[in-house]
Amino acid sequence: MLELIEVSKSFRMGLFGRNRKVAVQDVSFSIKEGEILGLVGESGCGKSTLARIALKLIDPTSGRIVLNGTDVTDMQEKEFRVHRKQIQIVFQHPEGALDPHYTLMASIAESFNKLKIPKGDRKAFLERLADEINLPLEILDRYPNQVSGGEIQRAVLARIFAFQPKYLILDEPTSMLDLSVQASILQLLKIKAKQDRMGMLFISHDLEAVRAICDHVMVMKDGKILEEGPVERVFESPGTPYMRMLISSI
Amino acid sequence: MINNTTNCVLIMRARLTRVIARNPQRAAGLAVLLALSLMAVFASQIAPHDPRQTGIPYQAPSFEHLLGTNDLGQDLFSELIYATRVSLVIGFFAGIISLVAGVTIGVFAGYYRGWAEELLMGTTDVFLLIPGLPLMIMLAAYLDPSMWNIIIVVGLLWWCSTARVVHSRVLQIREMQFIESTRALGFSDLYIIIKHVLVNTKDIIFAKFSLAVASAMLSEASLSFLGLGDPMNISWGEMTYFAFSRGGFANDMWWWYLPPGLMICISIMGFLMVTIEDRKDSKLLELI
Amino acid sequence: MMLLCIRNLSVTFDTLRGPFRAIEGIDLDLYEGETLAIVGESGCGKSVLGHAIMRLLDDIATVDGSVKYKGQEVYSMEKSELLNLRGKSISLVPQSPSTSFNPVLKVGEQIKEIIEKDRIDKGPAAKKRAIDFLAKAGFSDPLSIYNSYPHQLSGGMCERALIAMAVSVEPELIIADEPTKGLDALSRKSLLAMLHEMAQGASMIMITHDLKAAATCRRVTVMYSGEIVEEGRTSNLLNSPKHFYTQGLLEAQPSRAMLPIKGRHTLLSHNDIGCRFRERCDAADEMCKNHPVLRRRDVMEWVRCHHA
Repeated sequence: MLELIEVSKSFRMGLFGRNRKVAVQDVSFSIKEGEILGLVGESGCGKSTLARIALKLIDPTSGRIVLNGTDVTDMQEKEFRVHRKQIQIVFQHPEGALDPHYTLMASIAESFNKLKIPKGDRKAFLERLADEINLPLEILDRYPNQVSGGEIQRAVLARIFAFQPKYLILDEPTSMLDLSVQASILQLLKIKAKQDRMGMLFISHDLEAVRAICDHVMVMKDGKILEEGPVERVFESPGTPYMRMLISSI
Repeated sequence: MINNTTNCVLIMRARLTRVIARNPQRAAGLAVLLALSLMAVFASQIAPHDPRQTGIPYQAPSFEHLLGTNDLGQDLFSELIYATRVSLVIGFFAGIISLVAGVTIGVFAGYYRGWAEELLMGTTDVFLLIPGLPLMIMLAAYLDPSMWNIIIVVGLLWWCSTARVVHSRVLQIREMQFIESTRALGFSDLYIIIKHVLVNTKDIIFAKFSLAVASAMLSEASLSFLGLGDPMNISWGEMTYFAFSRGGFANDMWWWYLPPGLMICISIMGFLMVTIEDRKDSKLLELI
Repeated sequence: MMLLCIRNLSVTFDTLRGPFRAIEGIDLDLYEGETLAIVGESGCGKSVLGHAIMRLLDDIATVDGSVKYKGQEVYSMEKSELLNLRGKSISLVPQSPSTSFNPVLKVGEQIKEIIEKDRIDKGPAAKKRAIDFLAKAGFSDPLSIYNSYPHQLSGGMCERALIAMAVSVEPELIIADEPTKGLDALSRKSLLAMLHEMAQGASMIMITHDLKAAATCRRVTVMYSGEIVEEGRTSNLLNSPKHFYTQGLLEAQPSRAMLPIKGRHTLLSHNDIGCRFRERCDAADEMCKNHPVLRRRDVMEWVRCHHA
């Protein structure tokens, strides 16, 4: 279980950091294995900051991050690196998601050394990964600018799945994709969560997508969680006027 | 076996034609640089005479002496060939020095940000403000006139613009998502810098390097023309200086001062043409 | 009255890998005051079509066919006529809001510049007009937006300002390229409402991959792989689509079955003569190896499929 307990983050803005901008305020939640937790809210509500805190890409101003019972909040980067592979992230924009100088195959296989996969098994391992995410093998030789956004996102997933992470943070992974591509990636994630018992935080402003794949959902506004509950309950009888407004805008 | 070789040749040729078709200017620049390098490497084979061997002075061009002789009767054509070596070596090594210093500073300042950035880029800005040529003249006049001193002086003055450009490119790259996601996969900073940041900066580094070499050659020529060059290793710049100080200009011997000047122009143009960017179907990609 | 009449329009790009036909044989009519959505996946050529209408591809592509604007052929216009056509008659709301403004000029100044270029107003009057249109675009404090630089605005705000800029010259036709891309549900809803309100009296072509946005237009054209595959009144088309591709798109929505269309959208297979969708279509058979024509099924309803 990945827990965030009363996490807050504020940024210093302006000259000499005179102004403080609170991005996330006292947010607590936990991602359980095999469960997809949705996080909805408007642009700028602090969703992406929260995602980066969960990954320890930025440190929270206050609050704790607990990974499988271990408090990792104050761990230095070096110490935390062993836990890194357990939590992974997929970003919104496919354009910058992969290094444009490497083929999809090179990007996916980048970590094979690190994962200590024997040379002889690499091809089979790569093929298995590609198959898992429905990426045709002939596409793997291409560069990111020669494939579609959906295919890049798939390659990103393959690259991440090689580490067999336990938790996945999805920062609007499909909002830039075409409908059909979005559908196939959402299906893939849903299956992955159930089969491999992966825990996911699905950040999105697409309420329909959230409803389609999430088990639980949180509603965020101005850095605070307004409402949380099982998807069906929240969508059927939203407890806050804000969530009612969001639902009515579908 | 034979089949394999022909195949190889065919593939190489196809590749070459593609490079030329994609960017004819760069191909032309590369050809110029290749010719110059060959000239420098095989100077002793190409030059018809030993450039130090003396003979009848002030001869006009002839078959024996393609560019005539100087005031000591030394063959100018051979001198020109040998000078290629000196000019290229000075330009190349000065370029390397500026490259190593500039890229290291630019990458570290851009990737780590914070006070290191302030310090490094602040220093760079100070260096950028110093007028280059006068300082070079001062340093070159103060130090012994040796080739390596010139290389160091010129090289150390050219790193700052490289550092600036690399720095701003690195700033751009470090904000890209693949850097963050590679970090999330647990790769170390050094790995990310080498495999991702540098690789994505290499176009700029390469372009900056050829510009630095070209500028170094030009600075060297200016210094030499002012008589601050290394008399033991005669470069093109120095040839024009000698033509000026030892009677070439006075006797209207254009075959003495014009060829080295032309060689400087051609090699600089070669380096500049190499930096011309690929034509890309960027507009098309944007629309689709 | 017919405002725009496109016949047999094709656009070919000359790429390093050889010619690439982005759109082929497009026929499209647009009447005055009408709103039309062009829907399709990325790479289907919908943006190219939008640019080709305004003749913005002259120097990078070969364009064949005819685009008539109010009966006048766009592709035989003089330079000065063309400059009048762009902006004053047809106004484009470009795709990427964050890069479509000049980053070093204030947003308002750029709107004012357009107003002055089209000689609608000058000086203070032009500034007032720019502020008025920013207010109409839903900004509660238009003056501060006028004085902001593009990087100070969010994506949604930039999009609004771009729309204000496009409508401020009162064009007869607005071409909006992916106006809702990347916006959250709330912003999308209010932006679409604002766009339709501001476009009132004018005609609009909305290029989009977002079926919800398309649903706000009167007529919808579906494009696949450079061709129009289906066209019809919005309610008919979205409720009972005839082409298998349109059906697939609708079923892919998360609110429906969320079923992906099988296979992948390939870009460069235009030497092929059959139906371009047949590899991904469950109903494909021998007949589909012949290229289907765009058939008229009913009043204002067209479909390119042997089985529909």
